[in-house]
Amino acid sequence: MAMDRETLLRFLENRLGVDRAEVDDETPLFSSGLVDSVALAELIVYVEKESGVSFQSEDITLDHLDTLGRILRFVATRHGG
Amino acid sequence: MHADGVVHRVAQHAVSRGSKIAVCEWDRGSPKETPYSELYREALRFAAFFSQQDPASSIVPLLAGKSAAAIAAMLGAMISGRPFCFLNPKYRGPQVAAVLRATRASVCALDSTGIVSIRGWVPNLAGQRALKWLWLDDEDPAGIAKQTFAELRSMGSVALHGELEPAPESEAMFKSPAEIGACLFTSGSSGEPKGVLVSTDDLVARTEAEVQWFGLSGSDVLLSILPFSFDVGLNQLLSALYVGAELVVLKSWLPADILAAVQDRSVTGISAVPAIWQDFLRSGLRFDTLGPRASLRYVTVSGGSLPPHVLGKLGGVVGRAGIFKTYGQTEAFRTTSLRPEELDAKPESVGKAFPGVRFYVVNENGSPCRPREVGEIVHTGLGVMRGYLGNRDLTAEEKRKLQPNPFRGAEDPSPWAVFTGDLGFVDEDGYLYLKGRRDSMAKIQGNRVYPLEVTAQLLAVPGVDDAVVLGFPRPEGDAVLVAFVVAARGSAPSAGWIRKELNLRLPSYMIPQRTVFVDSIPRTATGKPDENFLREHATEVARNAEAP
Repeated sequence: MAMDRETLLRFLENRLGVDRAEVDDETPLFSSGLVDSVALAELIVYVEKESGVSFQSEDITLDHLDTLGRILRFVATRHGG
Repeated sequence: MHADGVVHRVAQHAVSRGSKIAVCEWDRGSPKETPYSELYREALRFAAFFSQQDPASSIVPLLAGKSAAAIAAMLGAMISGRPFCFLNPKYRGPQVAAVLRATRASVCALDSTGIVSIRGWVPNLAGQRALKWLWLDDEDPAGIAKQTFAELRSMGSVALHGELEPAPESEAMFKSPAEIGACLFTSGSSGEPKGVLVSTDDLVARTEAEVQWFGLSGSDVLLSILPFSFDVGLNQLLSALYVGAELVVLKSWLPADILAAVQDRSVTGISAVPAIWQDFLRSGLRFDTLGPRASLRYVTVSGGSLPPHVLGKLGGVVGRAGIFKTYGQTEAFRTTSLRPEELDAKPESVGKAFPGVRFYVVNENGSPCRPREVGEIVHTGLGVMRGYLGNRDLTAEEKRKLQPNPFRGAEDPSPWAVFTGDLGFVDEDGYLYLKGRRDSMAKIQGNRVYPLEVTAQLLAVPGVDDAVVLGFPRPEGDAVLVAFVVAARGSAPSAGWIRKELNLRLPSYMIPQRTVFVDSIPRTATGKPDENFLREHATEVARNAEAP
């Protein structure tokens, strides 16, 4: 299953209230306080559904989830890409 | 001169063991370490800047993330004889504006984390008096911060950390400390944050009490997860600096990150709130406290309670590390703490008085309660605030918060008492138990109902992952109890099923009349359920339900 940059960005915009003009691939979302930590659960559920990748507890780190680029890279790694 | 104050200790550490790490900004693969010598040097630079730029010695607001630079700015404020105040990272423009107004600040420290709070709001800050901004980061702002930073520059003056003059490393830089050492902002019922004033003496005394209570020394490595705007997070920071320990600051609150940081830095102590431990239990991750690299010595459960059945499981997560429960509030810091060795015998208690503190449980007439009789908790001694900042009108609740100590005498010389608004009782052995907020108690069918008690039972229902119960007063008749429930992943308990389960656990008058399913329980920066938000949400749900 594919989750491209645009779908993810649209989710951030429509569901998490992120202004797309404000973020690039390396903008910290959670550690910066831009997105509230409670929204992380929502993001994970979305990414799992869209990409078919499932998160184990050890995978749920800011290293994998704090920026648009990190999320896309994590999903790509899991897809063997 | 406070020879035993926190900044003097830091000055001593800088001389006697300057290369020891004071602060580690932890990140996987690239932790940034700052030794005591550098922290002190930067603190002196900031102190010189504050003295130069702010002749009025106002409070210095720190609108910044947890970094060595922000800590140095705090120390700089202390050295220059000014109170400081860390701002809640969740604040946005209106709250920041309220804080800047209330503190009458002339200098405000800012970094790439803090600037997120005021994005889109800079034009509204123009009404402030001429405010100088101090940019704490080494780098120029990038990405999201860029535009806001440019707006600040065009509006007024911005000084860059990198361009500050070096300051002489001399005790001559030390000004006599302000009477007020810090201001902590907490949510006010009026909607604007209110500033709780803490004296310099009390700030030092709380630090010494924490050092004693947790047995801290320079060989400890403490993990900072909580914001410095929260009294528990701030006191952990001050305690680490006082003893010359390493403070590992974490931007993440996620179990896997906490675990990695603990292993990576050989962390010995963690201060955390219940929400963090609940995440840990859900993750199935646990600390290694037996292996050759085991380091963790203690953890705290602060800023709220874990229900007993959850607390029981926490032992499996932290292994041989001790669990300290602490209970307090911003206006009084820490009232009680339960030691690890008492946990098995008194798991539901929050312990006995913290060092330097006395507490009383009083009934509606103000007389002390008998054991097991529920009354309001009154706190005296260490931690009592000086009052609220500013001269705005206080609400009724704020007015009764700080009162002359009714128990003042030879045994308790403390002139002031904090009426906490929390209800509780002590058992025959003097251990304190909490029963919720004074204003949350509901009368239902002639019975006193404490929503906290209902919440605890609700959390024990299978399929319930998180929950909070609130009482909604009605103009006529009994209050209505509403349960907010987060269903566990992969299960979908119905309201009827939950009611059936609660029927087995609680008297009928304690069973919530309504159940609202939510994705998550919104929490404040200190991990407490955001009651105001939930109350609004419930009203909205009720309105929608009535719509055709």
